Amino acid sequence: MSNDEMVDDRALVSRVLSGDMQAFRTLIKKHERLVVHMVGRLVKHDEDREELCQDVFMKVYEKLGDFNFQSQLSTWIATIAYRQAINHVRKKKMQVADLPDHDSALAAFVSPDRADELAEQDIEAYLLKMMDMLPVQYKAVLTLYHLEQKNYAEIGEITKMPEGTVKNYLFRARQLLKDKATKYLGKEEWI
Amino acid sequence: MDMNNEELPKDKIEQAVFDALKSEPRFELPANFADRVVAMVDAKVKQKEAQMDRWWLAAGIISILGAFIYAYASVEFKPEVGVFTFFSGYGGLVIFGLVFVIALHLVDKLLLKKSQESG
Repeated sequence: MSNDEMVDDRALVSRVLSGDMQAFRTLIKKHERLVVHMVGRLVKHDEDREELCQDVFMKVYEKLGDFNFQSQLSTWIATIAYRQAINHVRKKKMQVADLPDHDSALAAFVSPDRADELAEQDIEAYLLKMMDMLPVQYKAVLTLYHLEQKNYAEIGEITKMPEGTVKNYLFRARQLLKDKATKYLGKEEWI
Repeated sequence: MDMNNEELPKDKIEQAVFDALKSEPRFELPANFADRVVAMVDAKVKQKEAQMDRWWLAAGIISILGAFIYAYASVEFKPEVGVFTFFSGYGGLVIFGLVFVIALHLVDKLLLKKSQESG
């Protein structure tokens, strides 16, 4: 991040802390895409997503006084969005905590029936569906790396995972998707 | 960034995967999202302020009562003169008057709140 951006964030945060609601509106507009990316990828149900985005920014407002500029403001907001999304997924009793090993993840990735149904769609839609079925930590790492252009250290800070784990998850998630794409395109060739 | 060190996807499969990874989730927030969050924050701040006001009111009432009791005890006040002699004969009426005025204010506050909500 450039120095100018850091100065902008400092000024913005200081205005919000002094009670300037227009500044908070600006902060929301500046970072809502990041929150939409995180929540949109990690939470499956449309009806929960908007409410969760609201909760994220309410939390940002509540905790902004504790933010000490040790990291970028966007990284700090992404951390809140990640935690809120993970807590929501946990509440919905979805699979979060234990990541399956590579083989079982691949086996459970998609059932053959589901694959046939999805094979009728185009490759991008198919891969997005496949991505949606990945474990939530994989999706978080992929989103932060590919959509938010965060580096390994920043992703580690947001998700509280060691850098090695971040790299490993990125590699495994991409590999799973490549395997699916290979199968999909191979099938298409036959047709 | 780390990604710059990677080879760009060359074949069809890698290209398809990287394209999918770069595509945005199909979910958008309404145009007035920021306004709605700000309104929610405003409401929460006002609620906190109202709660604080209630605490101060309670503290004020307790302090006044404490001061009244202390003053009453320290000057050994006896309600035997003037207006107090008159009131001592109408204890029930005085209590009814006080309860009536408080109830009137409560009803007024509730009605005012309802008319503000509907308006």
